[in-house]
Amino acid sequence: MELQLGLALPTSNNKSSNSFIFGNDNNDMGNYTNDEVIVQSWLPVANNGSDGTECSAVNSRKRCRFIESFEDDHLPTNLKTLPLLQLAGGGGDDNDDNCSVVLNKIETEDEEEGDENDGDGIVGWPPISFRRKKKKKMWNHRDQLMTMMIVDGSSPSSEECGDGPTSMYVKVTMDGVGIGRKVDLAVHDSFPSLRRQLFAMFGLPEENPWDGGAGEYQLTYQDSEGDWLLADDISWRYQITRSRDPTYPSAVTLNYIAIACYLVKFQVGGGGRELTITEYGGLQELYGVCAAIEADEEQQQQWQQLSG
Amino acid sequence: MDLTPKQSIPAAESTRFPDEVLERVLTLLKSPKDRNAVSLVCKDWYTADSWSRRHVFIGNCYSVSPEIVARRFPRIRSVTLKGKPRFSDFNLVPDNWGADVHSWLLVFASGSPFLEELRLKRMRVTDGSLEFLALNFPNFRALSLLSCDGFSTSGLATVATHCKNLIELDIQENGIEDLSGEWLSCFPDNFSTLEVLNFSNLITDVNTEVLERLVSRCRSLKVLKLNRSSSLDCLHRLLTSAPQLTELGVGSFSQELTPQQHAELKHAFGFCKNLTVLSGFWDATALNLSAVYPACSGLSFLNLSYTALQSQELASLLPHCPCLRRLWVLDSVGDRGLEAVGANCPSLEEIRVFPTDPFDEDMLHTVTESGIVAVSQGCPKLHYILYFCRQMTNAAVATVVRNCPDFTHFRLCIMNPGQPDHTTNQPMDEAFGAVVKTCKKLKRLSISGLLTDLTFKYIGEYAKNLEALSVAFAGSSDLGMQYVMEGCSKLKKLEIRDCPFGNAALLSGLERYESMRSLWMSACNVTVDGCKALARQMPRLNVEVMKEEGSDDCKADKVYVYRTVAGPRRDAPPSVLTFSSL
Repeated sequence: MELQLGLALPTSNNKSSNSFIFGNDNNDMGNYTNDEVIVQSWLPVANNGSDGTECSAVNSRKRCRFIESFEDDHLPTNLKTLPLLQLAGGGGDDNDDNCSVVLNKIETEDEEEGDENDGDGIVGWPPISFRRKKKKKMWNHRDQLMTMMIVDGSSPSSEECGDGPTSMYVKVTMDGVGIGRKVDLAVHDSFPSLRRQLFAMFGLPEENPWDGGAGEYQLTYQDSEGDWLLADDISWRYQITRSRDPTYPSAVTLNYIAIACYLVKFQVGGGGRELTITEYGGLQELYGVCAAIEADEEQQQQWQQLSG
Repeated sequence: MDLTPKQSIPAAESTRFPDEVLERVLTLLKSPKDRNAVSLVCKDWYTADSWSRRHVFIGNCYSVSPEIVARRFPRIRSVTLKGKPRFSDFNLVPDNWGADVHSWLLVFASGSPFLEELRLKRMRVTDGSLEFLALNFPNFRALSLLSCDGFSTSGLATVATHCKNLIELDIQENGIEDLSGEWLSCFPDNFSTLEVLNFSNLITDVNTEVLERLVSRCRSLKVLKLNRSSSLDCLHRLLTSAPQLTELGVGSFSQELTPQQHAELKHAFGFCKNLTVLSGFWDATALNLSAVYPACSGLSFLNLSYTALQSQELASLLPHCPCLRRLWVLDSVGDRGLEAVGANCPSLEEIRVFPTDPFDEDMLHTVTESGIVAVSQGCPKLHYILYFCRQMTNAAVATVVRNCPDFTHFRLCIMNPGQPDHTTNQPMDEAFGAVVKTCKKLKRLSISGLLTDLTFKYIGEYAKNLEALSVAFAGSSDLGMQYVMEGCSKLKKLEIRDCPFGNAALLSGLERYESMRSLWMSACNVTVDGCKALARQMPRLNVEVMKEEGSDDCKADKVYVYRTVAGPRRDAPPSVLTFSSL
C-alpha cells in the first residue's frame, strides 16, 4: 500500500478546531471545513475543476473545493511515495519545523450541530435536508450498530465481520509532514493511548495526562460519510466494531481507517471508517506490526528497519 | 287607501342572524383563507368567527403571540405552528435560534385546555413540553412533529402513557434523541384509538410483540409507518392483522427471504386492497420489492426515496401501479428509470428525484435533462416537480413545460452552483423564462444554475401567481431582486442565498414585506445599516440578523425579515440581532 502524503494548509481563520483534511482517495466525501476559511495552499491548486465547479463559477467568497486541489491525480507524484525512513525516529527536527507552521491552538468550542457540513465547501448545499442525509447514513450503519451491541453484550460475534484478521491497520498522515505511517488499530484500546502513539510517532511533546481534553490538539475523525466528529465522543468499543463493516469489501486484510486529528490524519481504505487503536509497547513494536502485515516488500523493509 | 307600512324592523336587526346560527353556518367553512375573509366582513362576523374557529394555522410562530391567538380564538381545538426558517433544514440556522413551543403550551393550557391537535414544523420541542402537553390537555388526540428537535423518546413515552384518547402520533424527520424503543410499550393495554402511527424517524428497535398487539387492538388504524428496524416477519404479521391500512411505511426491505417467506409476504400484501400510500423501503432488494406488487393496484403515492433502486427495478415495479399520482425516487434510477416512469404513469402529478449522493462528483448516480423530458412526455398531468441533477439545458426545460403547462411547483436544483447550460454554455435564464411564461399557475419556484438578472426580469414580469421563490447563487445585481419585488404581487416567501443583492435590493421590497410571510437573505451584500434602515421604516416587521463569527461588524451575514403583530421577540440568542423601530 502506498504511503499517502498528507499536507496541512496554514489556516488564516481563528475559528474552531477543524483541521484541513484533503484528498481522501477512498472516500468521495473528501474534505471539508466547518468554517469559511480562505486557505493558502502551497500545492498548485487547480482552480478550474474539469467539471467547472465551484472555484470558477462561484463568487470568490466561496471556499475552493479542497478535493479538487488534492485529488490524487493532482498531487505531484513524488509526494506519494516518499520513503518512510525520512520520518523515522519520531519525526525529528524537520517535522518539528513543519509542525510549527501548522500547530495552532485549537479553540475548545464544540462544533455547532447546525454547522455540520458533509464533504463540500459550501454549507447547506445542495439543499437536502440534513436530516434526510443523516437518516440515510444512519441506515448505512445500522448493521454496524447491531454489531456493536452484540460485542458489548460480550458474545463473541465477529462473524458478521467479513474480515478475518483482528488487526486493523491505519494509514496515518499528518498535516505538515511529508510521510505517512501505518498503525495497527487493533493494538490500542483507548483514545489516550492512540494520542500517545500519535504524538510519539510524529515527534510532538507529550501531553499532560491531566489536561482532560483541554489540550492543544483535538482528535477528530472522519467516518465513512465524511462527517468529522470528535473522537472522544465515541466509545472505543464502538469504534472497533464499526470498523468491521461487513458491507465493505473484505478481501483486503489491511483495513485502513481515517481519523483526523488536528494535525494527524488517518486514511481509510475501502470507504472510510472510525478507527480503533490499541496500545503498543512502543513505536518499535508498532512498526514491527506494520512490517508484519505490509504487503509491499519495499515498504515492509522500511517498516522493519524502523522497528529495529 | 292607506298603505300601512310593513311592520318596520330596525335596520340592524333585519340583517342580524342570531349568533348561534351564524356560527353554525361558519363551521361549514373549513379553509383558513375563507375564515379569514369572513372575519373581515363586520364586527359581528369577526366575533362569530372567533368563537367558532376550531383550527388555526400559524405559518410563522413569531408573527403573532400565543396570548393574542388564545384571546382571539378561545375555543381553538387544533393548532398548526411553523417555526424556524426553512433554511434551517440545510444547517444555515443556529441550533438555539428559538421557536420553542413551550410558551404556546403554557398559554393554551390556561386559556384553551380543550386543545386536541398540535402539528408542529421546525419547532423546538423538549421532553418537558411533551410531558406538559400530555398532562394538561385531557382531550388531546393528535400530535404531529415534523423536522422538530429538542426531544427524545422519553417525551414520546409520556405522550403514550397519558394521552388516553390519542388518535394520531406522527413523528417525522426530527432531530430526536433516540434512547430506546420503550415508548411504544407505554401505551396502556386497553388503548385502542390509534388511527395514525408514524415512527419511521426512530432508529431503535421497538418491541415487535407490543407493536403487533397494539396494531391488532386498534381497529381504526389507517396509517402505519414503521421504522427501519422493523423486520419483514413483523411486517408480514402486521399486514395480516391490519388489512384496512390505507398508508403503509415498511421497514427494512433488504432481509433475505426464503421462497416460502417471500410468497407469504406477497400474499399478505395481497390483503391490503386499500393501500394508497407506500413508503419506507430502506435498502430494498429487487426480489423483495416484488412482494409488494399485489398491493399496488390502488397506489397513489409511492415513496422510494430511501432506497437506491436501479432503473430495471423501478421499471419492473411501475407497471403494477397504474393509478400512481405521486412518486419520490433517488437519482439512482437514472434517465432509464425516468423513461419507465414516463411510460407507465399516465396519471402522474408529482415527481421528486433526490440525489443518492449529493457530493458524488463522479456522477455515478445521476439523472440528466433526458430524464425530466421523458417524464414530461409521458405524464401530461404533471404539476409538481423537484429535481436534483448535475446538468440541464434550456431546451430541455422549455420542452418540459411545453408538455406540462400546469406546473404549480417547479423546483430545479442543478447541484453545481452557477452551472450553465451544458450544451450551449449559456446561462439558464431562458429555461426559467420558459417556465414562468408557460406555467400561469406557478406558485412555487426554485431556481439554480448560472443565472443573470434576466431570469428575475422574467419572473417579475410573468410569474404573477408566484407565492414562494427560492434563489441560490444567481443574479448579477440589485436589479434582480428588484424585478421580483416589483412584479410578484402575490409573493409570500422569498429565500435568497449567495446572490449579489445589497441594501438597495433589500429596500426595494419595503412595500411588500408586510404582505409576505418572510424574507431570508444569506451571504448576500446586505449590511447591518441596510437592515436598520428597513426596520426603521417598517415598524411591523421584525428584522433579524444572524452574525457569523469572524465576519465584519457591518455585514449582515444572514437576514430574516418577517411581519409580526407581536413586536420583536425576546427569546433570540445572542447571535441573533433584532432590529425594530421600537
